[in-house]
Amino acid sequence: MTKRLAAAGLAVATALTLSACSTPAATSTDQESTHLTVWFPGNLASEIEWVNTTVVPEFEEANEGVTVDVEFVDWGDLSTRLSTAFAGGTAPDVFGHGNAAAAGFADAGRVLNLDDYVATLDPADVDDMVLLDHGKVDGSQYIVPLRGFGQLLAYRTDLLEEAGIDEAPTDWADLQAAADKLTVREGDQITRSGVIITADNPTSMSQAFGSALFQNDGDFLSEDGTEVTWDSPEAIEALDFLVGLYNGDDAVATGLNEPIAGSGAQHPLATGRAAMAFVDDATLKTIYEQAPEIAEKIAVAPPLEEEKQASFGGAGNGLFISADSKAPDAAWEFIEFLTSAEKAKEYVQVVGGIPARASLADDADLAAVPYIKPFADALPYFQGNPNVPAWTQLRDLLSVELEKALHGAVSPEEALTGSAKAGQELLSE
Amino acid sequence: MTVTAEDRMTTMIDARKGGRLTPGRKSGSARTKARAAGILLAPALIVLFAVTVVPIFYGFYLSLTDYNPVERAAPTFHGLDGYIRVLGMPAFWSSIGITLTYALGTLAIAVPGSLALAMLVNGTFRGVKLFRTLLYLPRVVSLVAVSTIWLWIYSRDGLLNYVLDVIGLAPISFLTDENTALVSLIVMRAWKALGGSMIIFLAGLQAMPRDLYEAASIDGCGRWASFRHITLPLLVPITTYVVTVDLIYLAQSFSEIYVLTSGGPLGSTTVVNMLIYKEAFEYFRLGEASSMAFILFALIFALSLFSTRVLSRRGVHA
Repeated sequence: MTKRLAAAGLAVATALTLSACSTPAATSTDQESTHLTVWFPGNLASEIEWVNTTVVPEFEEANEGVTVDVEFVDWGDLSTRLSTAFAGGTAPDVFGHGNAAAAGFADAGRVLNLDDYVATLDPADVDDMVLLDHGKVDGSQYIVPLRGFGQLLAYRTDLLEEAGIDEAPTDWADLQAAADKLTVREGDQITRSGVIITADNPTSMSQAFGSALFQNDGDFLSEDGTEVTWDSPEAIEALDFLVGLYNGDDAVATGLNEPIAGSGAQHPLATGRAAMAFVDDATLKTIYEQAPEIAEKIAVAPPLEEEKQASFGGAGNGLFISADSKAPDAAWEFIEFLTSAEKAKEYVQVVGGIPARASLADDADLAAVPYIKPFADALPYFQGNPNVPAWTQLRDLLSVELEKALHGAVSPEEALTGSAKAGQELLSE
Repeated sequence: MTVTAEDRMTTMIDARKGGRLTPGRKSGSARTKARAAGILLAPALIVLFAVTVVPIFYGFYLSLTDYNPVERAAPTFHGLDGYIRVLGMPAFWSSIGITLTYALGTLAIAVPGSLALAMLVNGTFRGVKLFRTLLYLPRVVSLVAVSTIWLWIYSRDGLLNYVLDVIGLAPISFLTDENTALVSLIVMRAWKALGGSMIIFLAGLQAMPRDLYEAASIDGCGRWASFRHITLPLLVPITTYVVTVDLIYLAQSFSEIYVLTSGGPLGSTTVVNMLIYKEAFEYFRLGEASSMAFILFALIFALSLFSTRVLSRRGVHA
C-alpha cells in the first residue's frame, strides 16, 4: 500500500512538473477553426495599437474561423526568443524580422519558400510590391518586406543659410566644403559638427560605410556572394573619406558611439550640435514627433553621387512563415492582407518608412509626410546588405575594424584588408 | 505491549549502525515516516532536478557539441574543441580582463563605501531612518531602469555634462570614449550596489558587543584603534559574504552594460556575458557559448574560493 502510494505520488509530481514545462503548440487547427500566432518585432505603441485594434479584427472578420494571437517582441529579444522557439518546436506561424536574416533562416530550413504563394498573386500586384525582390535568397522568395528604409543626408536649412550655403551637397567634395563652413570650434573642441554619420555602434557604422562604399561604386561582396570585396581601392577610399570627417586637424565631426538613432529631440540635428547628419527615416520621424518646431527647419537631400548616386537602404523588416507552421495557407492569407495596398499605406502612416508598394509613391497623403516622401523618392538608389547566411558574422568582423578606423586607431587600409582576410576565411568555411 | 524509552534508543542505535531494525510497530512506523518524507519531498526534488540539475548537465553536454538551435541537424559531439577554440580567441581573454576589472573595480568602491555609509547611519541622529531608506533605494530599483537613468546622466546633454558646463569645464564623453566608458560603468554599478551592502554591514555593526568597545575605551583605545582592532576583525565574516556574493553577481553582469554601452566603444566594455550573448543569440553558436559559460563559471568559482580563503585568513590574524 505504501509503495503504491509512493509510486502514485511520484507519478503525479512528475506529471505536474512535466506538464508545467511543456507549452502548447504554436498553432492548432481543427475542422472549425485555425489559430495563428504572429510575432511582430519592436515595441512601437502606435504600431501595437494599430495591429491589435485594426489589423487583427479586420482580418478575423474577413477570414471566418481564423483567429490570430499577436505578440510584439522587442528587437533586442527577437533572436533569443526565436532561437529558443525553433529549438523547442514552438515557433510562431508568422514572424517579423529584418531582411538581413532571410538567408540564414532559409539556409537552416526554418522558413517557408514562398514562391508558390507569390505565384498566386495578381502579376500587377507583384509589380507594385516594389521591395519584393529584396526578400529573395538565391532567387526564391522567403520574406515579404512590409516597408523600406534608407539613410539620407538631412540638414538644417537655417544653419546652411546662415553659412551662406544655397544648395544641399550632392557629392563628397560638396559635403566636405559645406561641413568645413558649418563646423564650429572652441579651442580644439568641436562644439557643432558640420556633418555626422549615424555611428551609434559598430553595426550602424557598417551601414554608414555602406553608403559611402556604394557611392564610390564598391560593394561588400562579389555579385555571387563568394568573395569579400570590402577591401577594394573604392572601399578604402570611401572609408578614408569617412575617417577624415572625424579625425585630423580638419575634422568636422565628433560624437562617435553616441546613441543618436531614434533619439528625436535629443538628436544633434535637433539640439543644434550638428548642422548636417545622415539619418534614417525612423530617426527623422522621431525628430518630427518630438521637436516639430526644429523639424520644420530640416530638409533632406537626395542620395549623394560620387561614382554613382546611391545610399544604404532597401527592404526593412518583413514577414516570414515558419517552416513548422501547421497553417501555412492561413499564414499567407495574413501576410497578403497586411501587404495589401490599403494596409501597406496605413502601415507606413503608423510606423514610418518607405511604402512597400510603388503605387503609394505618389499617394497624396504620404507625399505630404516630410519624413516619408524624400525616402520614397530615393528608393531606386538604395542598396542593402548581401543576402548570404554568414552576413551577421561577416558584418561584425568588418564593423569592429570600421570602428577602430573611425576612432583613428588603425588606418582605413589596415582595417579593411585585415577584416577582409578574416571574412574571406569565414565565407569559405 | 508497552514501548519503553530504552526500546526506542536501541532501535535508533541499531539503525545508525546500519543494523537491521527489529520487526514490529516501531520499525514500521519509522519506515512509514521516511517514506512519507520522501513523498512530500519528491515534488520539490523533481522540480529542482528538472530546472536546475538537468539544465546544468545539459549545458555542459552542449559545451562539448556544435549545437545551433536554428539548425535542424542534431548537435555533433566534438569534445573539447569548443573550449580550445574559445581559449584561443583574443576577444575572449580581453573580455575576461574587462570582466575582472569591472567586478574588482566595482567592489573596490562598493565595499569600503557601503561600510562607511553603514557606520554613518549606525548612529541615532534625527532622520536616520529616512537616510537609510534613501541610501537603500537604488537597490530596489531594477538594474535596467537604473541603467536607463544613468544613460541620460552620462549622455552628451545629460546631467553630468550640464554640471561641467555650469562650472566652465569641457564636456566628457563618459560612455563613448574607450578611456572613460568602463570607469563610468563601474561608478554606476558601485552606486547601485552601495545600499544593499550597507544594510548587511549595518546589521553587523548593530550586533557588535558593546562591552568590547567599553573595555577598549577604558584601556585608552581611540576611535580609529577601536575600528581597526575591533570593528574590522569582527566584520570579517560579513565582509567575506558581501565580497563573495557581489563578486559572483558582478562577474555575471550583462544588462547594465547592454543598455549603457553594448560592449563598446572599441570593445572596451565587452564583458564575458556580452560575448556569450553574441555567440548564442546572434551567431547561434550555442555550443561555444556554453563553453564560455562554463569557463566563466570556473573563474567565478575560483575567485569566490580565493576571496573566501584570503578574507577569512585576514580575519584570524587581524
